[in-house]
Amino acid sequence: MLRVDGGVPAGTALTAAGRWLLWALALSAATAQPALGGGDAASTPVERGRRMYQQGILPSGDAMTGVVLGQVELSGQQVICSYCHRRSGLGASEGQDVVPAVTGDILYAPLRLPTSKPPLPPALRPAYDDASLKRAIRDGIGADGEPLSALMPRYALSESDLGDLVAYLRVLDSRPDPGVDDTEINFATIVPDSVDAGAAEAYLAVFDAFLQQKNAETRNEPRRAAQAPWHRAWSLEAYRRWRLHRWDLQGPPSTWQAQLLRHYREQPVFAVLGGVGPGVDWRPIHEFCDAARLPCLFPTTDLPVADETSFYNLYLSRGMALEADAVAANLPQNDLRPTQVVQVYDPADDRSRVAASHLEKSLSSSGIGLRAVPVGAGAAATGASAAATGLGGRVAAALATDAPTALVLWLAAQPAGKLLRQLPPVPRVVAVYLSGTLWEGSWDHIPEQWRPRSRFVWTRALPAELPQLLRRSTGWLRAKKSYDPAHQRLQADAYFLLKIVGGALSVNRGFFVRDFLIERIERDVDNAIYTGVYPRVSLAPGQRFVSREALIAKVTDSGAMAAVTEWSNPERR
Amino acid sequence: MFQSLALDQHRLSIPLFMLLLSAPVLAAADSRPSHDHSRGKEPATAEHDPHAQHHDMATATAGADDPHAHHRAAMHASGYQRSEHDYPLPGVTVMDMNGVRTPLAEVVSSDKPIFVNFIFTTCTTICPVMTGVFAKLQDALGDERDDVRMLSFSIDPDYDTPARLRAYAELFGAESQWDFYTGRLEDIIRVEKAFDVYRGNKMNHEPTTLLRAGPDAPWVRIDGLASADDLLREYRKLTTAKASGH
Repeated sequence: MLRVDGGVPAGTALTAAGRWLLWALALSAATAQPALGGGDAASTPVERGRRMYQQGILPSGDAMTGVVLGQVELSGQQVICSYCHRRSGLGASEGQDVVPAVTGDILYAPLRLPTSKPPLPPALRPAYDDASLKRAIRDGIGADGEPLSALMPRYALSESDLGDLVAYLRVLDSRPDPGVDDTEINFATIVPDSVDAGAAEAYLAVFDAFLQQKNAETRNEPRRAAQAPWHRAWSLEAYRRWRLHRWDLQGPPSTWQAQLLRHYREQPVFAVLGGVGPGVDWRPIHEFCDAARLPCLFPTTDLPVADETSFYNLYLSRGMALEADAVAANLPQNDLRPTQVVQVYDPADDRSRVAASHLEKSLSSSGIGLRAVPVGAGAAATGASAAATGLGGRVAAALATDAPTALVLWLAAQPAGKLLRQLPPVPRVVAVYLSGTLWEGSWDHIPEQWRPRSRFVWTRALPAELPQLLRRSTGWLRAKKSYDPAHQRLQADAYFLLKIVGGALSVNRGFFVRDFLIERIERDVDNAIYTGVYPRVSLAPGQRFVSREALIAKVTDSGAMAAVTEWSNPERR
Repeated sequence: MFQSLALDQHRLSIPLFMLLLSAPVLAAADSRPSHDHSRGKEPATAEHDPHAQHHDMATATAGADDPHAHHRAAMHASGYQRSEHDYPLPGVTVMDMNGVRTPLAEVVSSDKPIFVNFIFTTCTTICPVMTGVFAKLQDALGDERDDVRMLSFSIDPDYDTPARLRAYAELFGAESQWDFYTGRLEDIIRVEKAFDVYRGNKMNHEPTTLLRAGPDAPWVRIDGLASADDLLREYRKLTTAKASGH
């Protein structure tokens, strides 16, 4: 059943469809409480307690304060319970410090503590009750009468506020989320119908091979877990057979949330693994995942939602928005200092359009003049000759300025090359920026005279680095007869996400809790050996994009793509 | 089938043997184990050792005739280790929270006593406490704070942009003597290694504070959670020693 932890994550922008979804899911899962309270969202003790736990806000509306180390007073964001104990309530560890689980089912039962001093038997932490739990929060005394860690704040809360917080902790539990039972765990992956069939096939082939191998290796663990010594049970309890469901999406994106809900009701899944949609605007899916509180993990899309307040949506890279930021960050570094930008984009291509709009936003306070020329539009200009209204003519007109100018082409190889051939290589165009994501062709499309000034922006590793980065996946896929060199990036993305999710689940200690999966992934990505097409991946609590960096490269005289800048975060300007 | 594999002579029961062979190749085996391997895999517990914080007490408040002494003591620092080191620093450049790049050598060249710690803005457990301690120390110093420098280096420089560091600094009320630094990942790693605080995955980081009386003095290393009182006391020891020419 749905976890009873109240409303919608802070900051989630819900469409009307999203709100409807939330109700539909809540009703269909037959929870004990509605997921969205009517009227005042904090009107019950549990809801008030949830707000204290997740946001550090008292029923009075003030920020909570706590004292650590006997004297350091922290408040608000610094002492939110869920920051250390995590949204799942299952705790965390950092360095040498273990933050314990605080779900009601764990607190209100005795807990066997591992001992580091064999042959002494393990100790038991006695069960908490309401009174001793309030004492722990207020005075820092544990159920065993001993002081809690110096890291745990002591909160000077009123009896009523403590009652609310404890009410929430009582309903926070570690029971499995939907989509998983004693033997199987169900996942879905998303395939919009706008995606090329060959691409979808290459992507899904990675999943097929992975699941086959994983399930072949998952044999007796669940049975063994039932008979294992208690200190081993945790590792064996993590095993389940994986089942993957393909969620196809058809027609206009406005209908997708209803389709996703229908898929989910047919078979609830524990999480959504990826999804293949390089050119797909992921927003409708993103909103569904937030509304349904369903982890949606690392889809292949160049149009993720940039909102890092989403808890349930994790992404690989910021995609086109990152490319635009990288261009904006590179402009001042250009020796010839362009003071104008002319960008050409295709309004019919979401990726092109979003990149252009993002660059415009990035440059809005920079003092750099920006002109945007859409492909195909403006053909209805009156009285002008065909040549003047053609794209080449319109771009040339936009470039008719004395200022040093950067030309940015959010176009694929062919149309970009065609346009460049029509433009005289005037010296005032000091740089031509091209999109590594949209290019999808050979560098030969760039006319000779434009090559020295051309700069590619990459949000993934350069082609020459890929064989090394992808050696593991390429080798493995070849062995499984599933390697498709035409879809290297898609297959690498799939392999990366499966490794990460597989790894996180194998150390979940038997807690099949969606929030906990995400919390584990947040910690484990930094340990990833395989990073896919990204030179570097990293996450931390609250971060949602594993790769935040880009670089600028140029085509050398010998025809190779060589980096001009480092791989770095353009936000750090 | 199994006999053909080269195994050592230990006798293994078939189920255990199969467990060894069927270890999840695709899952955990490829993940480099994190440094907190043993901790992370234990069932989430209260104290690993409930009495740990009573050992190695660096504070002197545990009076035998005070029945609440050990509670009060435990609420203070759980004990820290102090050592002294010379740390040769790399010739890298770091970026402050206003985006200004400065050579590290210049950042630490001040004649004033320097406090250093390592944080990242999305760190949830140790960093708020350590940063809170620095904030408390800043308050405790009062006007004297202009006589010191406080440096906090982000160990997640790719995420912690100057803007994020500014917001974090503001959250804790950092004043002008306290700067937060980011930089290129490779450079920050070199700084961490130079100070021997690099632990691989940033989630493995440990609470370490460094202080130095002056450019010719060794670095005093404080490992563990030190309270503001502890840091103040260490600072007084250093500056007294400095003043008396030791």
